[in-house]
Amino acid sequence: MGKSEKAAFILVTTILVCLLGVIIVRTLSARDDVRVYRVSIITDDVQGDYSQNIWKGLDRAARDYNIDLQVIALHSGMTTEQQRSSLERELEADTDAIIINLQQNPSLSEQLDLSSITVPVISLGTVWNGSSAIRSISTDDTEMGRMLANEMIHDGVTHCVIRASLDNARIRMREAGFVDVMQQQGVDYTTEWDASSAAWSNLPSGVAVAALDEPALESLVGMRKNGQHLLYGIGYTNALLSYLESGSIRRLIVEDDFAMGYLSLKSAVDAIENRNTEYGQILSCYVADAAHLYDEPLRHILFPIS
Amino acid sequence: MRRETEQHENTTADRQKPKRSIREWIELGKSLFRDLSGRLVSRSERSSIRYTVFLSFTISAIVAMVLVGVLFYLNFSRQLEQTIQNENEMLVKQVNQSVDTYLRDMLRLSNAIYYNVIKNVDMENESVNSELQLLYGTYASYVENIALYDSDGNLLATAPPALSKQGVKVIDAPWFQKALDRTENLHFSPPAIQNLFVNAEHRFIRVISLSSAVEITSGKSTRQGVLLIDLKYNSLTELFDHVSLANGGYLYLMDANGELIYHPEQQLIASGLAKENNLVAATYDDGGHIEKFEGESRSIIVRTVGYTGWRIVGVIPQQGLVLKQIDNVLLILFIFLFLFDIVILINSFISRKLTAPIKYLEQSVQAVEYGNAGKAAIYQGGSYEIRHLGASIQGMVDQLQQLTDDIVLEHEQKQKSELDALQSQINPHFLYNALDIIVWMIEKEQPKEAVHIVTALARLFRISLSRGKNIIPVRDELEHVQNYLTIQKMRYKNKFSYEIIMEDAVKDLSIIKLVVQPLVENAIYHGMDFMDGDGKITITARIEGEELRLSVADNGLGMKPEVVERLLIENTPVSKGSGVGLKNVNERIKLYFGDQYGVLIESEPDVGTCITLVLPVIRCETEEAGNLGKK
Repeated sequence: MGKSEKAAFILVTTILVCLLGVIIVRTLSARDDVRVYRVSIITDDVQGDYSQNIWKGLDRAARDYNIDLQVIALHSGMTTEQQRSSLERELEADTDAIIINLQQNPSLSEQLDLSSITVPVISLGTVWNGSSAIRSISTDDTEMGRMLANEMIHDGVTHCVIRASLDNARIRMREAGFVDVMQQQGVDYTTEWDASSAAWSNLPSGVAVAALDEPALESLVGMRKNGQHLLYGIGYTNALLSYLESGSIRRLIVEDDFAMGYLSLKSAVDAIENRNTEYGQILSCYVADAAHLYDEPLRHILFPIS
Repeated sequence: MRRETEQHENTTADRQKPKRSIREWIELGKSLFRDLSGRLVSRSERSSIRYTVFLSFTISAIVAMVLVGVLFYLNFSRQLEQTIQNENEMLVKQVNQSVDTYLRDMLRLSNAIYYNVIKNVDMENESVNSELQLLYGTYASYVENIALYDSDGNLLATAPPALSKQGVKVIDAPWFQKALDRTENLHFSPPAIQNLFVNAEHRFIRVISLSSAVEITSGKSTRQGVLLIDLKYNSLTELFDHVSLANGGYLYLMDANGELIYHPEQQLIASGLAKENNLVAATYDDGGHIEKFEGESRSIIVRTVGYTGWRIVGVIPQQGLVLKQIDNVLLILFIFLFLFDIVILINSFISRKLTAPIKYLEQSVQAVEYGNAGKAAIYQGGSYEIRHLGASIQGMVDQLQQLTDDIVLEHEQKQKSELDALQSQINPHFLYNALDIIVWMIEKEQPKEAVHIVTALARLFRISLSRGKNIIPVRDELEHVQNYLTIQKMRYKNKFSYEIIMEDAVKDLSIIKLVVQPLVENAIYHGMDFMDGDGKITITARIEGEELRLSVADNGLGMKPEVVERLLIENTPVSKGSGVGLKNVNERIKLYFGDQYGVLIESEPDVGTCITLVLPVIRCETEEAGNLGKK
């Protein structure tokens, strides 16, 4: 081969090899694009009605983002110390991100030491004040309390009783919001943390009751007699929605659980990929009543398509 | 100021300079092409034929490959796009048929319930629950419940058995009102949460309501009612499950107004976490469209489902197709370069094979050019033309070699002939005899005769040498003969006489030296030896036509014809004289002047002999004569 022929051959072969490298890299990177994320979710409410729509959102996000979701359930039989240990054990396991969904005992999260955690942690439903490194997806509990109070005042309630089953930061925030509006409007109110039937039976007829959580609502609905009392509440289950429809409950303040569950996993993926630095997302809350129960936006919030 | 003004004027002039017209652009392109092609031709003329062949083959191959590759790619891409589009449309059509079939099945169910159950029953006395339950059981996978209402919204029958919810006003429901408004049609309502019946499990089920007006027989009268079939929402969405279009595409179902009935991301859209262009798609006709949504180009396929006016929309993102096209382009480029590499190798081999014989031939010719022709043969290989060329060049080289050899041989012969002729003049016998004569004359105290002989001898040798020239004037040659005859006449005691006749015109003509003296010598030795004083030798030099003729005639014994014939063929040994015969003279004349010249012999026994030299007429001072004289 002549000099020029050799030069042409070498040049073309070099370009060919480089091109082959580009094709191989693109092929391999295309495969790498299909990544499966490992996310652990620590929850104390796997079977209950309180998180049903949250799970629908979590399942949908897991499908959309190729997430292998590991569920770590904290059952009610565990002591607080055991629950804390389980949490900390999981935090040390091989996982890409952790979601904490404590519906029954959200205060447990305050007892956790997360200072040594290197993977992203997302708090579902609770604003995590303990650490600025923790992302949270939640609603404004104080605002929920205010909305409930405004609805009751709109219905002409002049005196009410506040009931709650759980004593945690979220409930306290709801109470604070509720009380704030009541005080502003000059409405009398009393707070009772005991939801026993005796306490209920002592309530004067026609008094309005504001239940700040689902368990309090469910127990109050069960004890309600002949529509004597006006029942309002925060949160929902399918049963509570049935009572709302039947008139046993007058108003419910609800949140978009599906969006909360979906966004928690989306936030986890964003945190893993260092894409989104937003640490606290506050979702809107809504007023549900029987007349608009099956209208938008309540229809998709309360009855999400799974 | 002036400079600024000039600059301003120049700038203005530039601005005002008209743009080139199309014709000017064409002319510019032509001149560029001519310039480029001229450079290429000039380059190829300076390059070896192998490089030119290689380059030509490679460029031709590249052009062909590019053309074929581009055409193939364009055709392939178009066909691929068309195939993908056709497949997507086929898929949408199939789903459309599935939905249509599903809806028709439900319509048939509704008609079956009405015509086979409700119409045949007197509601006053009979119940249709069992029949409804039977049909419900058959279609349980599609149907959530079947209910029959009267025109006031009272529940008459239901399957499965259920209690109506308190406070639910059926007559306000859109499905109820539609059924009574247009009694000839069956109505499909958009998906909704079923809220008619008490559900102990507090389940809220999403259903699609199929309602139709019916006539209920009650005793002797008939009244209107509404047949409701709540279809399970999942039974419709299952038709879209696991259906995916190319490149991550998807299908969704909407009503005639663009409201979503089914969408794979319907919940996300409702929650504001995703978006869809359904309201715009509702304005599209059936068929394929291209749209841009959220910065992304998408291919849209729309099909209308019969009877309901619902529309199935297929969405195929284009971006991934572009990325895959990039992969295809890279692959095609890789294949092209790979083939290009192979083309280079093949072309290099072919060009080498084709041009090697030419190269070898060229080297052979170079060897000839440098004077090595006789040492190596001309290459004769390769294709027919090259072999023929080599053979022809070999022939020419052989001819050239032959001519060179002939010239060398001729030159050598000339030199030999001249040497022989010269040798004849230095014949010792002649010199001895001449010197004897001189001695005898000195002894005889004949100094004048001795001086005369010595002078003749000296002049004879002088002309013999002629300063090395081979061509001398005729007068010098005849003077040489004169001197020779002077000496020989003295020696032969005046046995013969001689006469030299020379025309004036021939004096300055060219002649090879020492060609007449041998004739005279032969005339003396063979003709005059036996004469007793009456021998005569006549030498004439004349021009006849375009020939110079010098004749030496004697009246001696003459020769027989057969002797004459042998004279020019053999080197006849001569007993006397120098021994340089007529053959030598004849050869020398032919060597110098050509075969048409030479020696003519006329002889008759007892009469005499006349030998004539036939020569061309060449004046001594011309270049031709000078060249002839060169050794």
